[in-house]
Amino acid sequence: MDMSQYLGVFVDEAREHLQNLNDKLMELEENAKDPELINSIFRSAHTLKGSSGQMGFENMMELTHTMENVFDALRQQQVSVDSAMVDCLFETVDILSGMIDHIAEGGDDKQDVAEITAQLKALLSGQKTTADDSTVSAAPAAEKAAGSVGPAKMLFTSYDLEMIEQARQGGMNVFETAIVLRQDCVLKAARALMVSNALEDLGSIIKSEPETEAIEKEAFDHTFSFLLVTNAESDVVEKNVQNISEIESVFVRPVQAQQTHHEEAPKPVEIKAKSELPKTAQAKSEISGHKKPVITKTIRVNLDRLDNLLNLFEELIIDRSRLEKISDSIENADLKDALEQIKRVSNQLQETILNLRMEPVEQVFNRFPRMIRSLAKELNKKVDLVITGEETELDRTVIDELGDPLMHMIRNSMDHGIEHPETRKQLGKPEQGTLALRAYHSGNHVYIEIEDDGAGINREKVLGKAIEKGIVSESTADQMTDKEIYHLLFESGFSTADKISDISGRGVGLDVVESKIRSLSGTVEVDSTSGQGTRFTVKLPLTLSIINALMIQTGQEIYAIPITAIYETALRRQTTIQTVQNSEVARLRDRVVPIIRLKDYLDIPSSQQDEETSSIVYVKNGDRIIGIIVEKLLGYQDIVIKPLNDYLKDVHGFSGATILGDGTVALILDCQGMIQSQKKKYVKLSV
Amino acid sequence: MSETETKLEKVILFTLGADTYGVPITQVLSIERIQSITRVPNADFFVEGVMNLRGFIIPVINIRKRFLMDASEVTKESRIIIVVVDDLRVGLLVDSAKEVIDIDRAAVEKTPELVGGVQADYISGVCGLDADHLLILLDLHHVLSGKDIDQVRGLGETENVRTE
Repeated sequence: MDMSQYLGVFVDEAREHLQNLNDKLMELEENAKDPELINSIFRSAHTLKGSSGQMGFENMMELTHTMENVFDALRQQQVSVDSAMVDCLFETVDILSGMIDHIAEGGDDKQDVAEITAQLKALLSGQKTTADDSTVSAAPAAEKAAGSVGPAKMLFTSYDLEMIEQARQGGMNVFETAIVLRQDCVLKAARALMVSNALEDLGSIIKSEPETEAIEKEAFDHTFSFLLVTNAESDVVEKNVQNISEIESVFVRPVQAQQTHHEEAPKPVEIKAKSELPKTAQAKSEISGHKKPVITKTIRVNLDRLDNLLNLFEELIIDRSRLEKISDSIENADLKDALEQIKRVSNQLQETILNLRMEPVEQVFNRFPRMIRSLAKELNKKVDLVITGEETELDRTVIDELGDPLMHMIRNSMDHGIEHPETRKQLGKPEQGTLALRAYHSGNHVYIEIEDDGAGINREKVLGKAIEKGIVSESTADQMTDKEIYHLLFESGFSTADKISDISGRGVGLDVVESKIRSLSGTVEVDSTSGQGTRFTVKLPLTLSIINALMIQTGQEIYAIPITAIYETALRRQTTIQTVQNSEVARLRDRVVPIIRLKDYLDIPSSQQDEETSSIVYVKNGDRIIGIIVEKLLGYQDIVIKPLNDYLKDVHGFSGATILGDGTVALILDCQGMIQSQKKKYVKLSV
Repeated sequence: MSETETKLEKVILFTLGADTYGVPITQVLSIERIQSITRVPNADFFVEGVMNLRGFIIPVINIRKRFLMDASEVTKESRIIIVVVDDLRVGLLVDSAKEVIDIDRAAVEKTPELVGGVQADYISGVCGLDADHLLILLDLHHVLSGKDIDQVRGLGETENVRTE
C-alpha cells in the first residue's frame, strides 16, 4: 500500500510526540514518581511505535519498541529513574529525531541503532534487581496478591469512557481482558485472532491495545488487551480464553464507570484491591477536565496556503485604499458608508488571518531545557532554567527564524555569564545559577528576555577589547554610556572570552544575532549589573506583513515611516535647530537630538527652499532619537510591507516597499538604519 | 527537420537608439508599457527605480545607463521588458520592443568584434538580422550581475555614482 500520502502527517505527528518525549523526560528527571507523567511518555512512545510500524519504518519501530519497554518497566515500577537513564533516553529521542528528519527529506530510517538498543536493554536488565526491591514495597505486592495486575493497563479516551458508561447503564459488564501469550508462541497474530473471536462470541470488543492493525501485523510483544462489553461474568470470559492454546495467562478486570465526578463515592480500598485501572482512568479524565477543558478541532494547513491567503488579502487592502481615494474625491455618502463597512470587515479579516499565522513561542522555547541541561553538564555549572510566557504568540515566520539567535544568547549567558558553582559559593550566591527566559506581549511588540544572575558584563574589559580591536577610539570611549558599551558585544569580531570554548566565543555570534533580529524588524538590547547578572531583551514586531505607517512627502516623493518607530511629530517652525560640532541638532524638551533632512539624506530633488511649512518626525530606536525634516505629513495608513527585490538587497536606507492606493510604489524608511548611521557619524566626528 | 528546429531560438527584439538587441523569449516574463516608477535613492546609478507589477515590487534597470550610452527621452514607444534570471525578476527599460523572431543558433557569431568597449561584456553573440542590420544578443546573466559594476563605474563619468 502506498503510504506516501500519509508521510507528511506521520512526520508532523512523530515530531510532536518526540517533542512531548523531550519535554516529559526533562520533567521525569525531577519528578520520577508521577504516574501521569510516565503514562504520557508511554503513550507518546507507544503511538510512535505504532505509526512508524504502519509506515513501514521497521528500524524506527524497533528502537521505539525497545524504548517503550523501558517506559513500561518504569510504569510498573520495575526500574527507577536516574540521570544515566535519562541521558540514554534523550539520546534515543535524538536518534529518532534524526530518523524523522531524514525521512522528511525523502530518506529512510536506516541508521545504526545497535549501540543505543544495547544501552536501552542494559537499562532494562538492571530492572531485575530493582524489580525485586519494588515487589517488597507494599502496593505492587498487594496488587499482585489480588491477582489482577496484568500487563500494561489500557488507557481510555473520553470517548471510550462514554462507551463504558453507556454499556454499564445498559446493565452490561465491561471487562478489560489482558492476554499474555507464551514466550514460544509462533503465530502471535493468529492466537490474538482466536482470542478476539472467542471474546466476540460472548459480547463485543470496543477497543484493543495495541490497535487491531498492529495486532494483525504482530506488532506487539506478547501481551495485548481487549475491552469487552458482555452479559457474561468474568469467570466465563476467562475460561473461554483459557481454552485457547499457547496462552500464558489471562487477566479479566471489570472496568468501573469512572467519570470525572467519581470522588463522591470514593472506595479507595476496593479500587486499589481491584486494580490500578480506575486511578488511571480518573487521572486521565481529570486532565481532560482541567488542563484542556475543550478539545478543539484542528486541521493541518500547509503554510504556503496561508501565505497565499495573506497575499490575496494584501491585494485587497491595496484596492481598499484605492477605493478610499476615489471616495474622497467624489463625496458620496452611500459610497462612504459602504466603504466604512468594508473597512470594518477587512480589519477583522486581517486580524483573523494574522491570528492564523500566530503560534506560541513555546515552539522555540521548548528546545532550550535540554540544551541547557547538556550545556550545564559540559560546563560543569549548575543552572536552573525558568521559562515564563511561553504561550505568547508570534508570527510563524518570525518563530522559524528565532531559534538560532536565542540559542546563541543563551549559550553566551551560560558560558560567560553564570559562574562556576565554587565561584558562586565564594561570592555568597546560591550554587545554582538561574537563567530566566521570558516572553511577553506589549503594544504591537513581543519582548523576549534572557536574564542570568551571573557575573554581569565587565565594562572595562569590553571597552579595553573594543579599543584594542579598533572598534572604538579611546576618546569616544569616554563619552559612551554603559548601554552603548554593552552593545559593543554585538559588533562583529568581538569576543571577550579569554579562552575560546566550544560553546561560544569564537568571535562570530552576537553580531550574527543582531543582524538576524534586525532582519525580522526587531531590536536587541543588553543590560547588565556587575556581579548581579545580564539581561538581553529582544523586541519583535507582532507581525511582519501589514503595519500602520505615517506617509510623508518631500519633493514629489512619498515615503512611509512605520508608526512603531515614531516618537512624536512637530512643526518645523516651532523648533529651533542649532549647529553643534558641524551637526544640526534640535532641542526636544530636555534632550538634544540630531537632525536629518530627508531631502539631503536621500538626495531628493525639491524646489522648496523655505522650511517654514515643513514638519519634523522624531523617530526612536531604543533610547536614541533623531529628528527627520520632511516637507509634508500625509497621514496614517495601513500599508502592506513588500520586500525590496533581491536585486536591490545592497541598497541601504529602506526596510521594504509598499504599494499605494494609486498603484505606485512607496519605499519604507529604515529608521533604525538611519539612527545607526547617525551614531556612526557621531562616533567618527568625535574621533 | 527536427535537427534544424532544435537550433532555432525565439528571441524578443528591442531597440536602443539605432541598434537592435535580442533576449531569449524563455527569459522574458512580459512586456509592459511605461508606468509610474519610484526612484530608489542609494541604488546603483542605472537603476531607474521600482515599479508595481501586479503586486510585486520589480526593480527597473535603465539599459542605456547600464551600457553607458547617452540617455534618451521616455516616449510612447518605450517599454519595460520584465525578465527572469536566476529567480530574480527585473524590468529593463528600452526604447521600444518589437517582434519575436526565430534565429538560427548556428548563425550566431560568438566574437562580437564589432561592438567594443564595456558593452561587449554583456553580449552573448551577434547575428545578421537583414541585409543592413545586426542583431545583438544580450547575456542577461551578465547584465544583471553586479560583478563588473565597479568596473563600469570606473569607466563611466556618471554623476549619480553612490558617494560613500
